[in-house]
Amino acid sequence: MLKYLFAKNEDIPAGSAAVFWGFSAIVWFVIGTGLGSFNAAKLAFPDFVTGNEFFAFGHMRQVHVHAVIFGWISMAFGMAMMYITPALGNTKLWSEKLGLWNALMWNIGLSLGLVLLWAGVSSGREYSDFPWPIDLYIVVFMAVPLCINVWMTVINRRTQGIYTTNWFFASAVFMVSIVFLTGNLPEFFHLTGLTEAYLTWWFAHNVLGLWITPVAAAIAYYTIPKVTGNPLYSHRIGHLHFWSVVVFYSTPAAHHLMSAPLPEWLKSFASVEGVLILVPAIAFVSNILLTMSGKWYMFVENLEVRFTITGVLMAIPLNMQGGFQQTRAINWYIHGTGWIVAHAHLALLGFSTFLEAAAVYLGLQMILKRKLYSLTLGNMHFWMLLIGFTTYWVSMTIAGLIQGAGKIYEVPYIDVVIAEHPYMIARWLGGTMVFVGNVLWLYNMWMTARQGTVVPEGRMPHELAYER
Amino acid sequence: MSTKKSIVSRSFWSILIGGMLTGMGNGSVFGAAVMCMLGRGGFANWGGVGLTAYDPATFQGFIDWAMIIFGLAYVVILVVGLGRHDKLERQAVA
Repeated sequence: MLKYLFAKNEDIPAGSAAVFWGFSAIVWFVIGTGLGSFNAAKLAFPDFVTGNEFFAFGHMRQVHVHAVIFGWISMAFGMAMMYITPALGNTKLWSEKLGLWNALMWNIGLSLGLVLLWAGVSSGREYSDFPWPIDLYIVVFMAVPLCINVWMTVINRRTQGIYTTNWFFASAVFMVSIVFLTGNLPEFFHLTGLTEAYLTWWFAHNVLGLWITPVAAAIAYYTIPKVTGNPLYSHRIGHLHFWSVVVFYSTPAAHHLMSAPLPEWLKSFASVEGVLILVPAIAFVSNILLTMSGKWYMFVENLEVRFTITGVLMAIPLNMQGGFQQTRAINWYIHGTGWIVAHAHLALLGFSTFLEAAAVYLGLQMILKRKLYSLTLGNMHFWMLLIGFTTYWVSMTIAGLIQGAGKIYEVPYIDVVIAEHPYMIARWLGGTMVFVGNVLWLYNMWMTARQGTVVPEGRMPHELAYER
Repeated sequence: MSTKKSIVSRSFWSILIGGMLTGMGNGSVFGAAVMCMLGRGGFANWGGVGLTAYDPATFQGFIDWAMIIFGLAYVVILVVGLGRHDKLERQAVA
């Protein structure tokens, strides 16, 4: 990939940028989940690796969070945009060269940011932990170049309309830049108190609501019709999904602060908006499941479809939890407990990751024109991800309920820690299973690039029989 | 297609794990909502490990049970739904 950085744009093979983004994403996924497994081990076994501040939980937790959000998830999104946007516009990517440089700058910026976080240089605000120079770097060298490439590709399309997926892509790359600039205002201008708290959670909520959720959904709008050969059930429901995400998902930041002394009207408004998130959620899930009509056998036989539909199924509990856990009564019980950690992983490691994994599997096979090296390894990856994640989610939800009970009944803290211990071990086992599955995936995709069966021009990878 | 096993039997583990996961997520919210409405018991029923963790009168106990029941319900929904799709797809192939 690096040899094309200084080549002329027209000399760079189509899809080069997507391959760079795709493999970067998988490597970050391995690193991110490896860090997660390490951190979980520290919670399960308190004497595991002590005495060095760089391996302390407080240093490493943010590194894990940012490696998976801005490394794995965001670079998988970049990969999807690099090949899906031009495909849906019946054109080429506007600039492969910009895409390659963008991926390089993304990797450099993220590595720099993570090293700073690891060293303890942090803004101190959850999710917007990066210090402000890194925030500005992310906007200027990571988000805006991606935005330009996607927008110019959409503008230069050779189709009459803009398919739902590209609506989501184009708006999300614009919105994430705004989210970074606005959400980090407290750090740029030293805002404090409730303003700082509100903007911090406005940022955190909207990285999820205006970046991760819509782009992950947009990927499913491409993957399922493309692989099954069925047209999307309803473009109009796709529009309903898009606009209801923009309206309802951009405003409920205060539901993260239901116990804070924010204005009551703001908290009530946020809570109602939070429940209305069910509108885009139901639109999305029903649209995708109805698109599967007549092709449900592919849920069994096709790896990409199985990943995507499993992720879409996870969107149901994700949005039921998300819609109602921020109402005042439920929030009173579960706020600040492991339930929220489980919910966050249901969003990022469940729903979103399963959709992105499908996009990376499909995209790398299509661009490299190589059939997946090993279906067995692919299946093992799927099951290790699903069983590992389910173990993690169930154990953390139950641990959260124990913590909630401990909090409300004012049980001595150490009793709660002891009560949670078995669930922390289960959490570590689940997380480690995900990490090992991802190592297998990296090997499988590397071998696909090197030794996968060549897919003939004009054919889809799944139309060929597996040879291993 | 017609000689193959049904979609339900071929996706047994996906239905079981995916269905339980989906249902348990919804059951968790339902359980929490009901318990918040009904109120809570005494200090002794806080629900720690080795205590009355699965006592339906406790928050945790009730929600755990709600999760399991919702999980089973979603497994049933998937079995019924995929079973019907299997019939339709077999007819289409035949």
